[in-house]
Amino acid sequence: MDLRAFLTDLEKAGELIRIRRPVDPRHISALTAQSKKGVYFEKIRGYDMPVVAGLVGTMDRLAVGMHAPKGAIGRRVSEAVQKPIPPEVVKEGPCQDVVLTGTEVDLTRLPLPLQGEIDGGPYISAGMTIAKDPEYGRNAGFYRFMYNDPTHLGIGLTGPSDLRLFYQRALSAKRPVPMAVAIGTHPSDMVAVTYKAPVGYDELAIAGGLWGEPLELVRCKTIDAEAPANAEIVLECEILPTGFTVDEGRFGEFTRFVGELVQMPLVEVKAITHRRDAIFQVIHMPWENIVLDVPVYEAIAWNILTTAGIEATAINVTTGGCGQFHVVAAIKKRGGEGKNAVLALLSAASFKYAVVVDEDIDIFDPDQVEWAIFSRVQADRDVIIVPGARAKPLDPSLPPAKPPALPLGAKLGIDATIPEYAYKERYTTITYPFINDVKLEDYLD
Amino acid sequence: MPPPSEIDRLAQRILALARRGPIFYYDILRELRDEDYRAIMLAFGQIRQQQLFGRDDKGCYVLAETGREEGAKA
Ligand SMILES: Cc1cc2nc3c(=O)[nH]c(=O)nc-3n(C[C@H](O)[C@H](O)[C@H](O)COP(=O)(O)O)c2cc1C
Ligand SMILES: [Mn+2]
Repeated sequence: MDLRAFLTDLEKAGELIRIRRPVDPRHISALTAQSKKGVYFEKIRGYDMPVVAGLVGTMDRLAVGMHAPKGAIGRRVSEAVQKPIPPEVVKEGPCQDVVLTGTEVDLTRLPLPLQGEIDGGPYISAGMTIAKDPEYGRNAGFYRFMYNDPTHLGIGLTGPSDLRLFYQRALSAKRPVPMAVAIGTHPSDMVAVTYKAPVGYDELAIAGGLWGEPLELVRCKTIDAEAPANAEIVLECEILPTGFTVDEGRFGEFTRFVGELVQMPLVEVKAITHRRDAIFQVIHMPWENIVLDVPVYEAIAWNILTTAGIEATAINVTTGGCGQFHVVAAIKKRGGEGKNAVLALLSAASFKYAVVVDEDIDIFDPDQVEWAIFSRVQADRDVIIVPGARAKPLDPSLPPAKPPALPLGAKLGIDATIPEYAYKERYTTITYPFINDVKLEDYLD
Repeated sequence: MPPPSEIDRLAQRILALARRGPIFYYDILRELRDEDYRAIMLAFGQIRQQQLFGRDDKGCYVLAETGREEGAKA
């Protein structure tokens, strides 16, 4: 299964539009922003490579790709993390149909769009990044890459990630980090690599866990790294051991705000390999990034509640909370567990707001969650605020913290389960007489 | 692929824009709207490689060092 299988699924589901008229690369971002569906740009003026953008712009489209209802994806990811299947290196793959090395390496062959008005330049936004460390082995994640010149990119090594750790180790040893950047991949694989596994854990094994079979990799031609065999395009790169010295950004983030200008390492592209008729994929910010984060953070919430011995029936990390900050969980409560669940969820650095409801509430319906908050919460008893906890720097409401000091923020939890002391009769809801005996359709002409 | 002389010409146009004041990449694409997108990327890449651009705190491109003073005068 690859990007093309996903495109077919989207088209069948009526979730893809094809633009056949030539489009100026300047207008890729605006047209994608205006579209309610994923977009297939068949002809980009000045390029011979089509572009797809906005494919996972909604949870519904991710669900189409993952062949699962949107409420089930997070749990599947958490199961795949428990049952990983390591990838397999094969001899050849379509991502190496065409191999460009030496003077043929030129990033301007690819139709990189400018996504935001304030962005520092054209970006590669759909770069699945597979790197190697001599001790920790393979690591996969998603990183943004700013166009610098035909053979160099800036990389957004902003957070405390495994790749950043690899880079810091390489920097002190004065060696480059070999890294394959795969563009044009299946959403299931994109979700898998977005999962924040402990260092030394190859996230491509989560991709295998999701498929139920190993992901196929090919060896890169010019560096010691591997890439997904069925990717559309692979950039064979090295992160140069020159330190955090090159301006990178600004870039529109998953928070829907534009991030700051930062100093980042420089990436050198050693080879570009691609399918004969390669498709260039764009992750349209912020929604596709948010949607890819949702199941990853839902999986984290499932793991947390399981560890805390709480039986959850549904978890929703909301897109309004940008896929990382807000979590709603429905549980089968035993005495007191509404509070335990809230405390457990808030222990994750990313969650600043957690709501816990009983299993009768459909947590994918904000109306129902609000109804639970109205009818099951007394603020003096059921709202928990924890100040001074570890927070995510990209939250603009945080007080300023001077790096390297990490920002501290407050946590808000709401136990919106029916109180233990409740008089059950007061929770009797309206039901309509004879509701199962008649059908409205039978009375319409 | 545009010839080197064409890329030089575009690089000069981009630098002239930056001489007038700080610019985003978006401004380059807007001001040079009739020019080829890829050729602009190549010209921009040449400027970056020659380290002729600095950045201001809004994230705009400005002329580096001596260039910046010229920009301020203009
Ligand atoms: C579309 C997308 C873009 C991302 N870009 C970045 C980025 O530029 N920098 C970063 O630190 N994390 C980024 N992330 C988050 C990381 O991919 C994620 O934290 C991942 O788990 C990191 O993997 P690692 O710690 O194994 O390297 C991005 C995620 C997505 C879905
Ligand atoms: Mn990792």
